[in-house]
Amino acid sequence: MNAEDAIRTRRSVRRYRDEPISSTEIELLIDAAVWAPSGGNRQTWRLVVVTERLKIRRLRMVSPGMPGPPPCVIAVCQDMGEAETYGSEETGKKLALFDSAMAVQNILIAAWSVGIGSCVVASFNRTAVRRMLDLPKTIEPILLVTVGRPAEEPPAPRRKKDGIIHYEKYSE
Amino acid sequence: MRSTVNDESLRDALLEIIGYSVTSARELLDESPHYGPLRLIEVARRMLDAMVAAGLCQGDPTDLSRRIGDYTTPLHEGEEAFRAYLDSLMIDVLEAF
Repeated sequence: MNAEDAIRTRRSVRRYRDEPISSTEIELLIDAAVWAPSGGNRQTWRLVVVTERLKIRRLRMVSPGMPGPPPCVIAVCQDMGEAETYGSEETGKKLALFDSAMAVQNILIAAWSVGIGSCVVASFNRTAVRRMLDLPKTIEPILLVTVGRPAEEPPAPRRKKDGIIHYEKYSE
Repeated sequence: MRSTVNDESLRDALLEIIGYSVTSARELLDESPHYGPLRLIEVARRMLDAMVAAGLCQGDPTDLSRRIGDYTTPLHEGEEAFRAYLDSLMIDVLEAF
């Protein structure tokens, strides 16, 4: 599947088949994530891959936005201790979020291109997830990505173009 | 009379729902109010799934479970569609009794 097809046909998949994701497939997704751009090429993201069934059930308990149950969850985190030293603290924090989002998008597209569905989860309790994954103090969980073989074919949600795109200058 | 329900599985499923509900309550303090109905619907779906797994449902609840889980499409279609979906779902749940 080429990049354009993957971008256009990817959907947020919220139901998964009860089949594991292979370590080769996980490696593909991780590799896609670390090839994302990052501010100053600092690569301050940290990824925690969770495949233990019980751990995923517990993660779901504290992640209202998590569909599933998925066979695999990738917690995309940031080393804020390192990230915040890039420019001002505020700049570092912003870049950490941008970088995480770009890494996540790479995961989504890479997964879809090989028939793996995914969903980005922003609604989760940071304190509980931090504790469950034994994250050190400076490692901040930013987003969770569920991945698995789709058990549904979600329709394409509407895409807005009116009022979104402006050329040369913003016009009301 | 001893129930045929697998008590341990049901307990675990209910604990998961309790965890989900408590976390939802906490997270909703900081999230869009629109998420409130979604979280409640998800609790309903998970409870139904737990009941099915425990053999507590008579008949075939598959369609109801699917209907409860199908909230994303009407949600994306707008508030009117989501309202209509919830109205219709209420009737489906009532008729399931």
